Amino acid sequence: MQTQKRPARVYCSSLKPFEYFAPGSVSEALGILARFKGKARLVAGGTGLVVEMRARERAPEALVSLRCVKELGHAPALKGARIVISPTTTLSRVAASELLREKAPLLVAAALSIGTCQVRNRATIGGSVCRGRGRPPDIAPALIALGAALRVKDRRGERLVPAGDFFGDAGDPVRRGEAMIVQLQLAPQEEDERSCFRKQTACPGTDRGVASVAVRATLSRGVIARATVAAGGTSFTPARMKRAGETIEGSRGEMETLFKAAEVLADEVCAAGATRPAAGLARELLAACFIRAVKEVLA
Amino acid sequence: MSPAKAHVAFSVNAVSYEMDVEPSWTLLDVLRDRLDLRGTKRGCGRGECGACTVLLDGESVNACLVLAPEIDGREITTIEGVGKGGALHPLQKAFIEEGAIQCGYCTPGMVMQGLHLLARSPGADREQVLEEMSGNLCCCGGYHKIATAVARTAAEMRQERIMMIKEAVGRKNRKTGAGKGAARAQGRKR
Repeated sequence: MQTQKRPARVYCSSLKPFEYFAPGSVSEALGILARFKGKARLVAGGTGLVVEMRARERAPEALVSLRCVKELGHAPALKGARIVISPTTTLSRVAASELLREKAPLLVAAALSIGTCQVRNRATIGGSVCRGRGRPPDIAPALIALGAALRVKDRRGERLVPAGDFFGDAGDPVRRGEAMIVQLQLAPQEEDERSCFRKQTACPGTDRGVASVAVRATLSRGVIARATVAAGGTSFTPARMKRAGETIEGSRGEMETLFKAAEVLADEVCAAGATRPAAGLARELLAACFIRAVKEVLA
Repeated sequence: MSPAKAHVAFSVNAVSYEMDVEPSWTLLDVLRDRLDLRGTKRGCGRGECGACTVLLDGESVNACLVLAPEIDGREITTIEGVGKGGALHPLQKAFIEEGAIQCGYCTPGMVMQGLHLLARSPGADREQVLEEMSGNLCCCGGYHKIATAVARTAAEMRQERIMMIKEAVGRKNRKTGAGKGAARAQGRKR
């Protein structure tokens, strides 16, 4: 069987010229985005965008920096029954937040799996979720398993988009540069819940995830009473894997059940749009990530 | 027509600068080409090798990924600002003494990342050092000695801290009159 080889990325030392704006408010930023009709991009950390611009994969006419937008500068906080996070929070601040370490360890683990220390000091959680459709973010399964929702704002108004929908079509306006995320909301982990995030990279020494799995489960005397499983990978849209979660409910992590659940997970991944050869790879890698994650939750 | 330049005011190694920059420049371009601070090295240009690591408001970043207009109002520390008054920083000394420098291209980035690590977790062990420095590549493969130099400095700093705390406690005890005698008396009471 002949396989098409993806052309190697060629990086240029310089960036193509663009206009730069640093608005002071969300409405001003949205105004600039509207003026450029999808040819402007938001920039917060820039660690992903600058690399894509060097590779000439993106050539925006303008960049709209969020560094002066005061409305977005708050630290992660508990508001009612939800944790709210600003999209401009860097991944290292996510990882260092006491609140998130206690109430959303899944997100902390996912954040720490991205990039290097230097990259995490610049990259933001908002920027991480806005990666292109072809490159779903590694953080996606963690957000889905945490029941996250994103407050998305455009010039017409504001709406709350569940994370599961955002990584599909519902997030396209943000990725096209027509709208922006102004807040992320999470359901905090309950005291009787355990969770684990596992990621498989393409090769050692790189952080690019080929497959990632997030498992969140409520345990009752060593038995999984309720489970939420979410998966992401290079060839499919990250989504909640409902049937895989149901398969492990009521088990104590017996290998037979886990292998069966891994098969169910692979079928769900195919249903989520994975192409056939990629699904074959995803099947192996996801199964490994999933089984390890469940084992760790039960440990 | 080229896009308008951005006016930025920032400081590098405690020296203030103000200039107009092209939006498409990066912090690395400003440091090397405008300020002639060539200690920060140009590496992969995509945040993978860590050769261009500098401290931005005390946090380590890849200078090749920071757009020049974004440095407005920020404090930058480069390898040129690490030693004080011509004296090397203990981490730099450790690099030399441990033989952690081969071709030297990665060294400025390694030192800057090491400083960030020591500032954030002064008691870091070797495992933490390896984890935190994973964003810095050494094309000579000298990782063992580099990790040893950083871990050694961390251990020395930890020891220094313990000594400082002990001295401070001793000073406090001398002031309040609570010395060995008082401690012995407390011991007898128990």
